[in-house]
Amino acid sequence: MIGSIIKEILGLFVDDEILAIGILAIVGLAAAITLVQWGGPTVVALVLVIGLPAILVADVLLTLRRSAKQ
Amino acid sequence: MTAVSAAFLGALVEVVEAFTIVLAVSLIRGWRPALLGTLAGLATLAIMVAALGPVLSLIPLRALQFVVGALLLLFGLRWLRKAILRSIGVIALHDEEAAFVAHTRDLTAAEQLRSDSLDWIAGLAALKAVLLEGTEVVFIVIAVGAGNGMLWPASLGALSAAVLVLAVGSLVHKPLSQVPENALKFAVGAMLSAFGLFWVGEGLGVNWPGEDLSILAFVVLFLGIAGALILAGRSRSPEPA
Repeated sequence: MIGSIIKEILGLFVDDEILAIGILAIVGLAAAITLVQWGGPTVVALVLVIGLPAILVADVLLTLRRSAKQ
Repeated sequence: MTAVSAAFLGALVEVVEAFTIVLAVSLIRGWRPALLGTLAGLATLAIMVAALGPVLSLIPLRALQFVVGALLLLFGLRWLRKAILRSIGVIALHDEEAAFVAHTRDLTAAEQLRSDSLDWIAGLAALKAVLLEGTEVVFIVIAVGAGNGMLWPASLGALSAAVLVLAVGSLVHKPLSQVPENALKFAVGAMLSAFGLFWVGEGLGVNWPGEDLSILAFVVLFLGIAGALILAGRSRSPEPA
């Protein structure tokens, strides 16, 4: 039972792997830009505001395409 | 206000889900295992909160904002994606009546096999439901409240939702299937994603224009994108499943 609870708690954050990897990639990119101090906070803000919705759009469209093929 | 609303709406969805399972347990095996399982789940949650609370205050604010923001994005965008796909008809809507029937059927089947141990099975089912859905509520409250000193108002928002569901549930004494769960998940998903975007930015040193007000702009952004995706998806598949 503990195993299934841990699995379900992990499932709270990761349902679709592509979406989760995409989110972490955008957040990681924003963190890397901050660490190397390239472009400053404005670039970080743009990466987040454009990148995160773009990941959502790409993932939903990909899922729709997959479901249409099935 | 946004933090309280997000905590209230998020908790509403989770408590309805937990209530459905606890109600199934109480109708099959009586109030005792349902109540004991629920109390055990709540006690475990309380221990988790009591243990994690002091740890949170030791983490530097920027690091806390970044980590919680990233988790909120994973959590919120997952909800938003699911609500979009449900609205389009790609995946089925969550049905509390169906969940109630499934849990009732499982417990009834178990009753025929091992009647003597069924109180344990029923109690564990209630405990698991309260623990899992409660963990989601605790996460939402901490996530929307911890970074900006809104922990208590957010907790009160979640508590109000729990009281509301229990009051209505005890009156109607059946699964609360009339709650528009997908619409709530849609709104909460957008709110949590907006908080996540805001916190990750703050954690990385971004000073958002309008400060906290930018969260509302992000909510509108995510709702707009989700609405556009639903329209696009429905035009592709005119006959939702």
